[in-house]
Amino acid sequence: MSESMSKIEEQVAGTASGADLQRARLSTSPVIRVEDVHKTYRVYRKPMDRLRESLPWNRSKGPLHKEVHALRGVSFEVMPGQCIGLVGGNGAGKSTLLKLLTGTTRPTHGRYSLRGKVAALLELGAGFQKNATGRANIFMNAALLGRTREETKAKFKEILDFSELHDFIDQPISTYSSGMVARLGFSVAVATDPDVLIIDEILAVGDMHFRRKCVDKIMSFKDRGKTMFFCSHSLYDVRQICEKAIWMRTGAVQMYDDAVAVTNEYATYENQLIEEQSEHVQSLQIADAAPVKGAMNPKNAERYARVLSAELIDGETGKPRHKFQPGDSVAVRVHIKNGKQPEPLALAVGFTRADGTLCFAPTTEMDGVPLDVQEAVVTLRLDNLRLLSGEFVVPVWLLDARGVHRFHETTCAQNLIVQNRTKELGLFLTERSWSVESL
Amino acid sequence: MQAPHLIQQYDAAETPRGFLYHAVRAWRAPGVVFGQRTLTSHFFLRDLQSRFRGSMLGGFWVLMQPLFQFAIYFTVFGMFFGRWEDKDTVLFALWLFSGIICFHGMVSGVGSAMNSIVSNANLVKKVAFPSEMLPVVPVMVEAAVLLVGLGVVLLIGGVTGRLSFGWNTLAIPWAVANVLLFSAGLGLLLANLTVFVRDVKNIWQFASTAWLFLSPNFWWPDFLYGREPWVFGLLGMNPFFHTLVGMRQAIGLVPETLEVDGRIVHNLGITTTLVESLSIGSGWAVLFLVVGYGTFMVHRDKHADLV
Repeated sequence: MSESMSKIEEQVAGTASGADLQRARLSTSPVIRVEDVHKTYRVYRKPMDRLRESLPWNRSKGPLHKEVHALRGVSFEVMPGQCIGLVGGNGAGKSTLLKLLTGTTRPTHGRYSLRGKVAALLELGAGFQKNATGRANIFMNAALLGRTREETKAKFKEILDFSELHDFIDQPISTYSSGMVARLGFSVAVATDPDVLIIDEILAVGDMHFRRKCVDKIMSFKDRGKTMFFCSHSLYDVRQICEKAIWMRTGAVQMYDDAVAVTNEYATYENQLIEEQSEHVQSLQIADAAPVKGAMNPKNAERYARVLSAELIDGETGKPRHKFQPGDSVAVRVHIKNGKQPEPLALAVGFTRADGTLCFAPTTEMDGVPLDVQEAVVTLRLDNLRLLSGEFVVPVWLLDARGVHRFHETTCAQNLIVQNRTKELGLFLTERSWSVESL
Repeated sequence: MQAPHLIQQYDAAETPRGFLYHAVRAWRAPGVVFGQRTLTSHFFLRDLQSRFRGSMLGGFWVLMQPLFQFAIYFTVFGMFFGRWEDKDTVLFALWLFSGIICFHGMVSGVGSAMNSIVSNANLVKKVAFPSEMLPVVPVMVEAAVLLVGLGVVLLIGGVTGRLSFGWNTLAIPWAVANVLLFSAGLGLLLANLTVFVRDVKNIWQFASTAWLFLSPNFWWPDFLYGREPWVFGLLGMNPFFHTLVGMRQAIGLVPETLEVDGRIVHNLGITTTLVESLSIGSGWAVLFLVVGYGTFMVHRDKHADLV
């Protein structure tokens, strides 16, 4: 870190002014820096105890409150342009951390600093007034986010266009659906063009069409080098949108690393918990990608990208076949057609055991295969099938290029049946060797 | 690189700024309200509109409440108890009404102000903004209502010739400012207290009623003459006493001598001049503002955790 800093300083010193130096320093110093932050809430059994505790003659009787530690020693740094995901169970301290960064509450111990204009979407439409019209609320909410009337006026059309609430803007908010309120809130917040965007669980609201617009907007923020802090229960979203992620557990940072690594660790941990409670839930699946609204409706078949057919074939002969042995060459042939407004796509193929366990699921997006076509036959070939005996469902997902939105989902007509003639046990065939050292 | 100068930082190890730090900065409170005028005007309009949105008579109700109160008090105190029998009926009515609108303005302003943090919990918890403006807004709304009421008083007083207009008329904004600052200070003080002790609003309900009767609303100060000295001392300690008296002097309700129907109406027992009354009123107002703003700001960061 300091090494790279001095390098840049050298480069800059050769050419230019202090302003450039300043800029270079800023782009290499963290936007968010949190150091050993603790947050403790005092919980009183009854309101009277708060008063009794503050009386000087009650000091000797000891505290009358219980302490709840929402955060215990959280430290991390976020560099400019990074998008950080925040995952963790309920009560892990995610919301407290976000509130702290927003500035609505203060840490009990430790320090933090934030650089740049911060906009927080802790709750869409916080501060909306039910009786006022959408138009009045846009101005009100923008004012809360620190905008003057003139600035909001200049952005008004942009906000309205993004929210798509043209017909309702002069109606009171009380006539809006919750999704519409969320749309308005998001539109206002992103229009303020912050340097640091803090988002808490907001993608769960609004219809899928709007959710897609939100994600695209968030992505465009990222592309412009803005910093983002993104809290979500959808691990899939965190993985697709963020580079790095923080996993919070019982008020502390359990893991701060690459988003894929963190979500995997967290999913494993969660699954263990769930197994202990003897429930079965899949926590990390492509099926978590939100469907594009209307895309699943057969009426819209022509409008959106679709999978026309998907079948299992023999990898060598190219003939339809669904019964294989381990080591055989298996292929999945998928016929796809782009939508009316063609866009780059991604295709995912999964192999799922009857009990729902996803064994593996390669996607063109993660393998870096571009899929910018009008209509195509895409073939996934597995030359040396490693699966052992069992019946596997083969789902096929057609997604947008980022793998965030789901256009179509189908399964191959026949299930993949693997029959092994060897004594191998379990799910997978693995390369292996034994060694015996006699002692 | 946009606005790199905007840095927010907080270190819990630093000693938090104490009461004195904030108290001496109470003069900044009006600056906050003006500096955030976009937001203030939104809150102001929201508050004003919420009072008569959906009602048939609309803005009319703003005046109706003090008018009804006046009618009741005038009937009870004027007719049943004969407070005005040795005085001038119209003079008593104007004295009563001008007192009621000031006092009612202060009480309902403070009443809404003290609940403003708790009732805007969602806002205080989720959005970082200068929340010290929340208690000030309802007080400003009440001040606007007070101005309308004063217009009515001046109109009636002018038509009936009971008010004297002159230099004292120029002091009306000062008198209104006293009511505004006093209410804002008390509002901030109690708004902060309400966050910690919710019982404050219940206490306020009967405390304000007691205060109403202890203030020169239904009686004028000469009522105190010949009473036990402690009564005079107690009622004179009333921090709102001189604001109420000063307001009557500013609208020209307290002439040195006034001849009505061949009788001399004396100065109603008021011993201070207009400037003295308003200055003492301002003194109390500033004291409440400094204490209110100071305590509010010291505890402001805790509000989001408690509401």
